[in-house]
Amino acid sequence: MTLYNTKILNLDNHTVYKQAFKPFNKISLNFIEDLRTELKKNKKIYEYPELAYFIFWLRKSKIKKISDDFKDKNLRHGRGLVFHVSSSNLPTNFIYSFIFGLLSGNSNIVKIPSISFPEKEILISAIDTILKKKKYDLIKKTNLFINLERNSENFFKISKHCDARVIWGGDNSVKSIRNIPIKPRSIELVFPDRYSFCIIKSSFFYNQHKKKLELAAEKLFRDTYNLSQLACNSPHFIFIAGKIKQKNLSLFWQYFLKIIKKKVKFENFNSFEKFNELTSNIIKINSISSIDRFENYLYLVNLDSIDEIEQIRGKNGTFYVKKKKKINELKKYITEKCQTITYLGFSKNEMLEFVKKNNLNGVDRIVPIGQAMDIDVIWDGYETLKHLSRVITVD
Amino acid sequence: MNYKNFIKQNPFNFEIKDLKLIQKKMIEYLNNHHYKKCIEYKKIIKMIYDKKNSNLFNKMLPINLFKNFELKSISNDQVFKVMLSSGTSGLQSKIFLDKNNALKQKIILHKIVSEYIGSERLPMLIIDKNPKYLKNEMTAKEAAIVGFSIFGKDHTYLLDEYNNICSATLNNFLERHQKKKFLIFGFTSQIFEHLIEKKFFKNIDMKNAICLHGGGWKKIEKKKISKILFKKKLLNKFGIDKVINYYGLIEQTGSIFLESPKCGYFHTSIFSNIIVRDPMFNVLKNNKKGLVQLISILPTSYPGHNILTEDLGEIVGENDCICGKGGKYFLIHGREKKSEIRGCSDAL
Repeated sequence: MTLYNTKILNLDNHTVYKQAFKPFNKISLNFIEDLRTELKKNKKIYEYPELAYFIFWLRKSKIKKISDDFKDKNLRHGRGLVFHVSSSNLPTNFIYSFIFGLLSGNSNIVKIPSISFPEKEILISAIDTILKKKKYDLIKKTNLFINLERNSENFFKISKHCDARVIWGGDNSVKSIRNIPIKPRSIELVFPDRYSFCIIKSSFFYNQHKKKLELAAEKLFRDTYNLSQLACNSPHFIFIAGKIKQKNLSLFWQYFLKIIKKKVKFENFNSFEKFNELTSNIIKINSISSIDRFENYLYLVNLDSIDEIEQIRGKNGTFYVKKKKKINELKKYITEKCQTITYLGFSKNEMLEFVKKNNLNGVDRIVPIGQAMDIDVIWDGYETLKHLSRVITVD
Repeated sequence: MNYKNFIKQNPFNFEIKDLKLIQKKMIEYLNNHHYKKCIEYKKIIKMIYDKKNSNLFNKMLPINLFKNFELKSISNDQVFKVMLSSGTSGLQSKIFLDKNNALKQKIILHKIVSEYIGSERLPMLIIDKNPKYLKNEMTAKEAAIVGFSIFGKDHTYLLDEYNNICSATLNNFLERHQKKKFLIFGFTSQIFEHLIEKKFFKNIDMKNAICLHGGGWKKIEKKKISKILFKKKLLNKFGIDKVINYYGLIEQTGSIFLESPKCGYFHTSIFSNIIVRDPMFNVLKNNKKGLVQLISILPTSYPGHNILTEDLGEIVGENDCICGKGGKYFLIHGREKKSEIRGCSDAL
């Protein structure tokens, strides 16, 4: 592949060539594979769960599946230049956004987080190494990772020239970035702040084998404690549907607690914040009925009603718990703010039925417990790769 | 001894019979008082502390609550004065005082500080500008300057309205008072910036001064200045050998902690207590660093008698300090560095 008819964007010392490519082109696939190999050489990556997960995510079979899922009867082509405004407080968000842009056949400018996350440094240095290879000259010319201030001249310039802008971040950030103009034809994919919850069928706990309870607790842990429960796909509400046998439920929490004690190192700061948040919510939220506090490892806050759920966010291991007879009672609380629902004790079919029957205003993703943190090219209801490409019809 | 009698005692009279028991009773009295008078306090205590977890000292509120809520144990028409914290990092604490509480804090502040610098009013050089030039109504800074003014006379401000040093003012002040004991008062960072760092101050004799300073070390630590170095610089440059650091919360004005120049530690009074906790809020033994919880028996118009701070500190010992003062003696190590917050919402 060569560059032709290319528009050039000059940013201080960098030059970015802008061109659209065929999605899943050979050179991009090779690049992704080399990136994985390069990262795996660095043994330090296994100290960082999110890097380890990224490498796992990049596996050949996964990329193949993404590619297979992408294919439809249409002829698709990249849009051109994608501007990725990644989340400033997530260490690996930018790399996924970039991969989405690359696979869909685009040139990319990626705003990287300004915080010096070790994960970020490792990723950038691996990319730099591979881009030194001559065979990736084209990728080097058409992609750029850059530190950018939101109100800088460059931010405006890139926005003005890009064909698609992808924005990840809190509601206020997204709002203010969307005020920065893009071309009339450019599209925007936005990923603002959302919340997620977990629904459990109470019968799951009845006479359950110890191993299964432990495994379920392990999965809930995986969904929640990794980013201190601060990722929007981390559940912080737990709805338990059906009749509760307190003894069995307590046993589950005990297993959960055991995992936390083993795996999490609480700093003074975390505990202070967590306690502060809890006491603030006791004052602010009227529907709190009782609290089970397991030192500062785990707070379970029981709610009378779920009317105030949009105002509450559990952090650092705080769960708001509500018992309901049937999951159908939840439907009016599944608003546009709701992103992921994880489930335990239900079948996939029950979940499908629940969605089909209820004309839900929210929820983009329903996954079994333990998969909340998984990342997919379908995100927040977008088929990202399809959005970042365009269809060419030839009759 | 009831509450009214107890607060009339000398703050450093650790000889009082059954002191620990009395202190416990005072805490219990305040716990009950605020439980009855402050809805928010009651809500929290009811939710978090069940009967089996009924240790009196556990019933603490995190300091940030005073920034996010208006906590009072008095009715609105009893509010006599509202104090605001300096709020360098965003929100300000709001403390509601009634007449009685304000007076009590003033009296006890006076008693505690007199213990260290004597009760005679000393000529006072303030390393700041006149509070009338400070914009906000009653900030911690203003409260501190006004509060400590009762220890001084001939109050002289080193800075003018625009934060410039008035050399003439300083020279005049020193001419009048240099030969006898006088007081220098200011925020630690201001003293550093406007006295220690200023090159043009040379051969100024302030050996008769007592330097009383407080407030955060954050700015100074960035310049790699330790407590010891701070003192050394004051000694070398101005001959000041009596340097007293104070530590306290605007939420607990009055029961302040002063660092004794003899030992270099902060000391509790009979009206205050410190507990150091680990991240699970277990009480730590002496010489272990952890989160500082401060108890003051003075707050009655707001539930600030038992506060968990964000500060890190360690208790060194109790009742056996070389300086001869009773009570717990301790060190403060500043605020813990916040770890990077990760997550999808806006970074604060």
